[in-house]
Amino acid sequence: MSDNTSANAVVQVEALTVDFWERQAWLNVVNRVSFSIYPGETLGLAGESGCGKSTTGYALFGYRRPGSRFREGAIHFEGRNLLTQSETELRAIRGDKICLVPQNPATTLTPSMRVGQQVVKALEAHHICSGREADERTIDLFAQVGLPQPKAIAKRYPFQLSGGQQQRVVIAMALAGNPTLVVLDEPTTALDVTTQARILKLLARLQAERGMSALYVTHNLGVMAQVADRVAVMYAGELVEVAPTAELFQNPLHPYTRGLIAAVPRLSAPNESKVKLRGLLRREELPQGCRFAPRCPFAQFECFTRPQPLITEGKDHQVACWLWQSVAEKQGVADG
Amino acid sequence: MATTTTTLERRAIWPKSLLASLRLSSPVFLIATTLLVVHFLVALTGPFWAPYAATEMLVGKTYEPPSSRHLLGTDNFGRDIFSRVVLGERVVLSLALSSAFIAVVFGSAIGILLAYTLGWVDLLAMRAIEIIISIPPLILALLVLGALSPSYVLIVLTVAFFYIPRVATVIRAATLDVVTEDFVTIARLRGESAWSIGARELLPNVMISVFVEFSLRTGYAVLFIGGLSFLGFGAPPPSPEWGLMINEGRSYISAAPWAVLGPSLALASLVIAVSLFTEGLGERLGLSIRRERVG
Repeated sequence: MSDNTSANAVVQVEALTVDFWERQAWLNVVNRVSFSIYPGETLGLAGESGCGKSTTGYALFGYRRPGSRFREGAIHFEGRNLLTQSETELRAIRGDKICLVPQNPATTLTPSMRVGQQVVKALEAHHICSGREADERTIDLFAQVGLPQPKAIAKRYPFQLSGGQQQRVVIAMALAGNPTLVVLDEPTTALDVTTQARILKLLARLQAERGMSALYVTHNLGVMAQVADRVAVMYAGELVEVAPTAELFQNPLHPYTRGLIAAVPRLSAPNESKVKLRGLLRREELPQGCRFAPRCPFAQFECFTRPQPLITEGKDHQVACWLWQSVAEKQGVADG
Repeated sequence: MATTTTTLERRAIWPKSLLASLRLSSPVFLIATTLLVVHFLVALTGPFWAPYAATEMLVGKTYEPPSSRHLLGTDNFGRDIFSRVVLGERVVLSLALSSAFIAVVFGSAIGILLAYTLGWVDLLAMRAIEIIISIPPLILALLVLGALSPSYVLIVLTVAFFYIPRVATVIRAATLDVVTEDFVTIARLRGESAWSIGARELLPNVMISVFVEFSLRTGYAVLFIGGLSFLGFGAPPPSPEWGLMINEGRSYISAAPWAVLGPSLALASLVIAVSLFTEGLGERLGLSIRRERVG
């Protein structure tokens, strides 16, 4: 990955900052998040609920939920800044060049329309094809995502399908365009473990076949280790660590990442005492400096006042903690 | 689990389920439906079997009481009241249905648009709608219809004008429940146009409210148009519109009460049928009907 420069990145996010309007004030939700995704690469975005990872994922469509704003930053995609594009220009990109596989297939599909028609609608929205050609293309897409009897399934309503089938329909709909980037927002959390494994396999195959890049948003580190080439860890709206997957799991630098990985239960050591991580603070309670400081066992006075930008430490490994070296030493002592 | 249930409930929109629910209905709903069907049949087939033409004068004597020849008697011009009531049915129904139809088409479009757009557009539009709703319909309708020469088209447009904002608020509220659903956001992220989202994601999911609103507005329109005609600002003579007939019969009510009785009974039974049908429909589809004063 070292030959990658920002020039050939599929999408480049620069200092993305998103605020929500809550209780008559702007509340910062995503703070100066920067990352790039390279051709064919899967970037994992990990973090706990409410840390801003889905907001970041949706921002890649130039979309912000009503009552929010992009305070600063840029998202470069195919030579354009998505944050300054008009709704019309964005519509041409959304669902065609960048597509989404969302979290819950049951609420993603329109309840009162046959699933085949919904895919046809997606095809027609981007003038890819229409009429009988669109019908045939839909059935072809259903076959590609491994739906049995695609013709029969196209005539069904969403509630007549199982969760796994619904998610396959959603994936087929995402592939209706010619995506170079797919945003996967926890695509398997609503599914059981066996179905989850099949869907992950399918996604990996489709991604390889079409050479798509992906942003994989999840809080499931097990899935993350399986699918991602690189992982970005998010805490309270900021990236705290970005590293290649193997590197991150073997050599986590940030105290938060270390805690997360230590907290994953392992079959090999079921009785090992688990590290406890406490939940996110309310956004108003976060300090000026490092946002993890109030929860960090190694925090010093300076951590609360000094903001922590991502600093490159070694090859492709970025971490937002000025103390990481001493932390690594201390934890090494504690472990030993 | 919860999502699955909502999906199933939403499906209850379409005619197949409507018929299925009809079978399980209460006797009141069945009677109302039957009565309504009879009214519609009369409106459709009336001209083929009505004994006399609506405006044919001196078919018998004037002020003739009900008899086997003239089931509901005759009026001051010797016109057969039974024939006039039968032939008035289509006038009454088509005026009410077209007013309700126009109101529901435009009201739903506005309601869906506002719920989807929100923001300051919605804020301003809702205040405008509240202003229109705050005007007593009868008074303004009398002003408009009194100033211009009364015609069927004008009546329909006036009534529709008053019902459009009322329908819009109801459909807007129903759509607000739907716009926050994931599939609407996802459709936007798929690059769908606002038009496509409105027509294919939002409208089908508020169809229940649209149907019920249409039925409700039809009932109100029957009474409202009847009232306008009774006051002399609705259907022009010699129309067999029931409100007008009641007004004309009123002047000689002590001499020939049957001239008022016929159209009154017809009007009452139609309004009751529509009203009970709407209530039953709303109940079947899980909506509660909010009552509103007609005048």
